[in-house]
Amino acid sequence: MGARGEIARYAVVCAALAGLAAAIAYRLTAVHLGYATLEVSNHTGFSRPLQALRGTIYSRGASDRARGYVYAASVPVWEYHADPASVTLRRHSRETVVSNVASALELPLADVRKAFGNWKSRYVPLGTSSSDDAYRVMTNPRLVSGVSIEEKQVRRYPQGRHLAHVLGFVTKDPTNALGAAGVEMRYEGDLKGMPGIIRGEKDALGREIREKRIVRKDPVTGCSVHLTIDHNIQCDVERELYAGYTNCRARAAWAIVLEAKTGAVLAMASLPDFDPEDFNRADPLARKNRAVGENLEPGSVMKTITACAALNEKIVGPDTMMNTDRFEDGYYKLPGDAGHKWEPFMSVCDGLVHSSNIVYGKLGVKLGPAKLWKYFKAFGFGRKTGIDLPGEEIGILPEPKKWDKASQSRAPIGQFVAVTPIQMAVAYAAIANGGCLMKPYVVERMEDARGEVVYRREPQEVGRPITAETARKVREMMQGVATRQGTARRAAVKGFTVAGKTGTAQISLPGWKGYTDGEYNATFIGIAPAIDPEVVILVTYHRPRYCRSFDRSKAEGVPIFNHQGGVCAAPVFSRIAASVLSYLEVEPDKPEELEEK
Amino acid sequence: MKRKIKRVKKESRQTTGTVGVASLIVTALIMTMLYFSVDASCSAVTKKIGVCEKRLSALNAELVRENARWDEMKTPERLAVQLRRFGLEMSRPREDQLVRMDAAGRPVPGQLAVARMTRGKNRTEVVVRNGRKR
Repeated sequence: MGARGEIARYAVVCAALAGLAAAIAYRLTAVHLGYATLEVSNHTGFSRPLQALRGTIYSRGASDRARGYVYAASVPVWEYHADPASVTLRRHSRETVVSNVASALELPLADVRKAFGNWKSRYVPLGTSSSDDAYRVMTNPRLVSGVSIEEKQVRRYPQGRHLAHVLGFVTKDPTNALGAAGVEMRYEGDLKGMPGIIRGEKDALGREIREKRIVRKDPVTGCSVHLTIDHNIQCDVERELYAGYTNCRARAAWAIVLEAKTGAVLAMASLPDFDPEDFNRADPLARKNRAVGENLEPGSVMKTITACAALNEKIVGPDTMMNTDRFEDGYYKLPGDAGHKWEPFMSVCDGLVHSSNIVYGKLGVKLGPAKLWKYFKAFGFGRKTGIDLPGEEIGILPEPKKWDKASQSRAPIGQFVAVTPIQMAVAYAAIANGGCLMKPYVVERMEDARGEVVYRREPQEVGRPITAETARKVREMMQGVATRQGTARRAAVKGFTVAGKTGTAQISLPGWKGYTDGEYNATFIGIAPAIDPEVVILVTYHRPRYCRSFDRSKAEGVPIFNHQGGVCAAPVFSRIAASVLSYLEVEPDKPEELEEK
Repeated sequence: MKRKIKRVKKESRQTTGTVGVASLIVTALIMTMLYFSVDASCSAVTKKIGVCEKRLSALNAELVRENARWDEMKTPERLAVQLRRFGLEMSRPREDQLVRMDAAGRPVPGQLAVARMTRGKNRTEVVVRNGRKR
């Protein structure tokens, strides 16, 4: 073996070693470096999400661009927790800490003393506060120790219980609060905003190293939602509805005020109500927005729709006389007209004014199920109105082939079918609006954080169930209802013409076969002013016990044992209408009534 | 002679080399000092930005809280309570107190308030100027 062979062996060994080194280097750099970097970044990486402020909900403002009252707003607050074990007793006594905390957070001294009394506990919630002064006291180590502070966001409803059913509420989760009902739920995507983030590196104590910050994305505040609800009207409606609710000792009540020409909801109230900030404690039934989520037989208010169908089909005219013999045709029996004026022959108009079941039952039979169904459908029954609120029911409107002989005479007087209050209000709004059915809505516009309008709702027509001429005729017929001869003389509004209809619908409670004795829904729906309508107002009392007299000529508190729409709901309608028309500065169409004074 | 020239050349090359090295060192020193001073000022600015950022977010939060407090104070119910406290009562104007104007600012004819005003004027012919009846 010569020197050349030896050199060759060395060369081979060196080459092998170099190859090995290259392979190890490759493995370390190309394969392991990624994991190593990730590992390092996991230990040194800093990431802090920045919570976006949820958008504010406003009532309708005085002008197109103006903001109304705040209905819901998110507020950053501090949540304070007592940590009794870490109170530094060298600086101050426990009692000093207790008194400082109690005065700063405006809490009862006994409660704070109790919170700090448990030595073993490290976490006793004290409460939340948005006061900056309280925060300054609580973070001053000379005054307070043994308190931990957490920043969070809470949803505030400054108007309290007002409009609770429309607004809804948000879940209590501090990091991910979600709208769980009402507008909060329907517009969750727009209200919640976009969270921001800070990314970079942190030091050994977990604090951000600012020089190593990679990105800071600011959170984007959610859109502000501007409702069509007018807070002043809403307050009036709630006040009057509540007065009637206690007066007739009803189990529930609801009211809707619609702008006749656009379908915008000016007010919507349901009773019993709840506090949206404390929704957990409310009865689930009290949280239900009955104005959109209650399916019920409408009762006599349906007669107006039947009248619309009959007049539009030109089967009868307002003055056509009808035989009021309930056994006339033999094969069907109509509910009698107990409590109403009865005459052997009655005109279609008088039938509406006196709410004759027989006249309208017969009209329904004359029309036939197919036509009646067609009109009910055209007025929006049996389908959602499309209002921008969750929990809307569709009602019950069976196909015409499922109608039997009895149904043909029941449906026209508001039995056998079920509708929601909003469906009925929208149908009446169509009569008020010259036969043009509008889609109801509660959100007028949305603005982004910079105040730019990102969404504006325009009134939307969804159909024309009747002609303008029919609508005018029916409104004229309905004007008789709120007169001395009609079923709702208490619905009259001084200085204004009113077109309306009462409804006293029997209801069936669970466990009963057929209708429950003595249980009713008392309703009044009115259009005011009747000649050039501005608003449609629906008022319903569910299961009223009795109604005290609203009549000023009678002694205060004299009970009228009556459950009818004309007694329970009509006076409430009258007061709401008077207040709304005055607020909207609608010119009286009967000024002579005001002159009488 | 040749040797002398070579030595002079060598000496001058050495001097140039020393000056070059010295200037490099000085430059490096200056750069290092500059770096440290810029770094220190950067740190100071960073800290200032941090403080400002915190202050801004605190002020924003305070503004939101203050707005919320204000909103809670001016609810119609609270305003009514305050008005009652001072013995004041607010009511909407009656129809005869309302005068609706047209676009030109003239009262729309046929209104109750206008009719009453006109009637009163014709009946009494009272002219009020500067608060005095004539």
